[in-house]
Order: sequence, then structure tokens, then C-alpha cells
Amino acid sequence: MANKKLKIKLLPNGEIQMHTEGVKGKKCLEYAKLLEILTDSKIQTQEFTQEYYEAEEYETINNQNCN
Amino acid sequence: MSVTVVSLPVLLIYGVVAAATAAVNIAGEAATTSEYQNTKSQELQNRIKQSIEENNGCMTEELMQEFCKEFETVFMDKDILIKTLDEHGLKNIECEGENIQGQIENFTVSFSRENTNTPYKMKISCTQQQDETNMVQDINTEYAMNVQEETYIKLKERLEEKHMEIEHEEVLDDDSIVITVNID
Repeated sequence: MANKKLKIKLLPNGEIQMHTEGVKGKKCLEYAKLLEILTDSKIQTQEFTQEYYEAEEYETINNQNCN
Repeated sequence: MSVTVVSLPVLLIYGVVAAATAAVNIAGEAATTSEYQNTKSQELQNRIKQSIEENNGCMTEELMQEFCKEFETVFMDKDILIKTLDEHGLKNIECEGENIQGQIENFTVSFSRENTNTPYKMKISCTQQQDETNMVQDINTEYAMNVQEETYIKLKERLEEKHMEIEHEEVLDDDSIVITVNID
């Protein structure tokens, strides 16, 4: 199981960037919301990486078994 | 996914919500001149001197309107702003509601806003011809760095409250702070 991490970067201009690693699918959106809460901030931009479009592992396995 | 957020103490005004990969330089966009009124008449100079003498080193509001520059800012947090002004060296900092004023060198610097949901407007008046550009840029930069510091402290406290493990921290060459959180 891949290590799941949040990489939170605090820039000296007051901006915050966060990158999720090992988080598949839409789960990452929850962490974006969490970041807002943790830092009293608002999302300005979002970019979806390849992992966003990858289904979470347990979903993939279930689909295979059904077939 | 990658997410860019802006701390509430810093609100982007000049809406450059650009492509997701672009980092917005808030400090650089923060201050622009909206209006400059200046007169070099001797009569005005005399009025300024008299005003300063009679008002404990400050210019009256009326005179400030005649001889001042006004800027839009991204400053949202009052406490961070006051801290920034103090660290920058402003003297006689006075705060009344959402109005803040102080002096440095020949400048009277004031901030005001209508409510806490909008950023402060900055007004600078000067008793003599002097370039305020460096001072404005410095205050912008210092405010942003104070925002970074406050955010760092707050983030670590809240991660601890939520029992989220910080795996690694590092400071980069550009003074960015990267915190890696394990969420396994």
C-alpha cells in the first residue's frame, strides 16, 4: 500500500501550496478542505494529477471480482 | 492533486487566479498607486509644518487628502499588520477601530477599512518630496512573511491537535517551508 502524504508548502508571500501523494481518486478533495481548516485559508486554484483519475485500490479490486 | 490556497490574512485583490501551475506573487501585486496629488506650493508646505507642530507630529486629515498617496493592499489581519508596522519601525502607532496610523521618517502612514471582510487601504503622506516606493514594498514583503510565520505556527498546533504525524520539515532556499505529513 503506497505511503500517503500531504506535502504542504508555506511560501514567503503568504501563499500555501499542497500536494497529495498516494491519495487516489476524489479522496484528495477532502484533504484540500482539511487544508483550508488547518490554515484558515481559501482554495485559490486546484490541479488534478494523474492520481486523481486513478480509482482507489479497493474499488478496482471489487470491480474485478464482479467480472 | 495540487492545491494552492491563500491565507485569509492575505486576500488577492488584483484577481490573477492564473493557471493552476502559476504561483501568484501576492507581495508583488499588493500595492499599486491609485491616485497621487501633490503640490509644491510654499503655502501648502507652511500649512503642513504648522499642522505637524500643532498635532503631535501628525498631519490633519484635511491636509493628508491634499498631499498623500493611496494604495490598495492585500492586508486582512489587523494583528499581523500592527506587528509588521511595529517591526518595520513605525512610531506612535495608534489604532482606533479599523483605523491604524503611525509615523516613520517623514511619512505618516495610515490604514483603514470599512469592515473586517475587506482588506485595508493604505494612505501615505509626506512632509517633503520623498519616494515611498521602497517603504511600501518592504511593508508588503514583511507582512507576507509574518503571515507565513503565523500560518506555520497555527498549522503545527492544529496538526498536533488532530494527532497527524509530521514526517519531515525543511526550509528551502527561497525561504519556503515544506511540511510533510504522513496520512497513512
